[in-house]
Amino acid sequence: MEVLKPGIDCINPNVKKVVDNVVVCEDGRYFVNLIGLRYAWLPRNIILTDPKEVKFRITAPDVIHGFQIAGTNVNVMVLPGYIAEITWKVPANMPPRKYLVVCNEYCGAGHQDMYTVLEIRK
Amino acid sequence: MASTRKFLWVGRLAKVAILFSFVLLALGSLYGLVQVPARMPGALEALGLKNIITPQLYCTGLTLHGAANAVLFTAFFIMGLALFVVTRDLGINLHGPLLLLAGLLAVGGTLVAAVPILLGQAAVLYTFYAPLSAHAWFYLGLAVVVVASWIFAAVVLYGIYKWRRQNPGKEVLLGVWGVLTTIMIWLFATPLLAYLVLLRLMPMSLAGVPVDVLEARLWFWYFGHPLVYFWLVPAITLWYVLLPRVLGVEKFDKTRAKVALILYLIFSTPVGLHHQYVDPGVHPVFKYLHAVLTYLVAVPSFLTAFNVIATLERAGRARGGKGLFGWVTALPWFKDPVFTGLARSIIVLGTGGFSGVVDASFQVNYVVHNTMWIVGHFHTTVGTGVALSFLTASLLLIPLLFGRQILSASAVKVAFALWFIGIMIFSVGGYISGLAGEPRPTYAPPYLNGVQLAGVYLLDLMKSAATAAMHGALMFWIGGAILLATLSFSALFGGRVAFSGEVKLSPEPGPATRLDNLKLWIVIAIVLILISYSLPAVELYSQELSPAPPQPT
Repeated sequence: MEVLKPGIDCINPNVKKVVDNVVVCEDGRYFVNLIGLRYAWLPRNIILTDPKEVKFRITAPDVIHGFQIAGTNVNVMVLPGYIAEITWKVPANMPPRKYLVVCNEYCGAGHQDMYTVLEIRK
Repeated sequence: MASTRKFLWVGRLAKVAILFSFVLLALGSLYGLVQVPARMPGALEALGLKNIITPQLYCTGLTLHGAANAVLFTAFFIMGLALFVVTRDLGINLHGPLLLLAGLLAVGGTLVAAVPILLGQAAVLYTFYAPLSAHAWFYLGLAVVVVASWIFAAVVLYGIYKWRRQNPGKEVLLGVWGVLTTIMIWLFATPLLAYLVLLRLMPMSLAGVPVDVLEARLWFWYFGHPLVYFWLVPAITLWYVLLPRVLGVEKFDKTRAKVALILYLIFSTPVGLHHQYVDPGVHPVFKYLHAVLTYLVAVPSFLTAFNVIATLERAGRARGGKGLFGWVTALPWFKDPVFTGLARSIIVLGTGGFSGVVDASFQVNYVVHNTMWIVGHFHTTVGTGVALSFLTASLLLIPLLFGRQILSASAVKVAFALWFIGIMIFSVGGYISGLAGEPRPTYAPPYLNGVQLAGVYLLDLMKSAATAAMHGALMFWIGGAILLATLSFSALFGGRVAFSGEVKLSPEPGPATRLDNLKLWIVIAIVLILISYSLPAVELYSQELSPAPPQPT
């Protein structure tokens, strides 16, 4: 997947690095650009090290999907033609572990295969 | 025969509508059963059903289950019930030929929509979100059913209007009031559904015209939430009318009951954005407005809960119940099937009301939106509170309308017990697995069916809760099957019963009060709809639409 560069510096001058559509900032903020398509979330694996705040920007090229990180309040509809944006203020006591990411809106016969794992590290 | 010559035509149509609703419930529930092994962790593999229940069958089945059970069973039953209540309570007849036309169109539209679903060419679920595209017949069938419902509504409303002209100064009876509220809610909700289906989704299906997804969702949910009250108001009216009748007491407060129905009429439509709390492209202030209105539509439900429970207390005390809770045990539990069925619907719908208040919260909704929690919620509301109330009311309708006896009271009692225990396990299991993140619709997901995701948070909890929920669902299903079979056989083959004189559900109407000024409430409702929906509509249409091309399922 192509790495996004333009525009990122305008949002945050604080960028440490950009890895696979995940923008890592010096102050613990993350910008995660995601695409949901039948039947996967891209990028496939998201690893966040000691995140304070994560802004997800998500769109879909085909049909409606639903982005949800199980066990958190990150839950947003992803509509083709629109960009969904949701900011997750990560609780300070959020344990470092793996979280299930699902598609929670019916998107076709392979809907159940559209999941991935998001990992939080300290 | 219970249906006197006077109501021959209307009675026949009511019978056909109710029997057809039973057929739809049976068909839809059969596909409900298909969901159970697909969602029970490991069950498809263990039962060797993997090649029979495929993802395609699951999706087709879920579409049928939602469309047949939630929309068509309820709609046809409500039509039959409305005909019965209006003609018997007001002693009037309705325009037979037009009703027949409405009935034929409704059945025809249903069959036209059912063909592509059964052929697997309309696996778009009952929400049919664009740009998922179904066969054009699916949309055509829907549109025909909606037009049929308008003809039906016009005939019934005209009948009530004529009665009011001939009986100035008389109050509108509660049962008729329920019919009016139900029909008005349907008439508020359906015009934009017709616009969506005919002018957006039909061109998408036939000619590949792209559709703006947000526009489609806005008008779907403009219809989708009032639909909920279209189910609920008849169920609640049944409680208000039938409980005092079977328990032999006056209802606690008639005025409060009418106020509840007026509040449903006013607040049931301008709330649809609460299904779109987590949608992009809708301003949060508009969502918040709908959140506030959603809490207002909970008020009549609380009024109803109070009123119904107070009526039950009155009946319990009249039976010698003493003390704080003695009246509860004094009620005819297990003795009177109609009371038992309605009381169970009320209890289950009460639990669904509380999970509904959770769903309605703008904030907490983030945790439960589109999860299995919602499945637990709506099987307690429409799936039990409404469906069980309707089937329980059939215990009276079958003798009164069909002139037949219920074949087996004990089968009914067993069914009630299985249904009640089953739905409680199903819903609580669903709530928990939803909180653990299990998605709302999903064919057997790999992470619950053998694919090991070591150390992933909440997965074990999801697995156990989903397993429990599906055991409950199976029990609930068996209870429902016994009840539906008993009712269907009774309606067709039960022993004949005869009633002398005319059947009346309610006492003679008293004098009209200020509440009976129905026009005022309808105007208030329309103004509120215009305010609450013009805001997101202006937002949507003032920014350029962003249509997406259709996609096969």
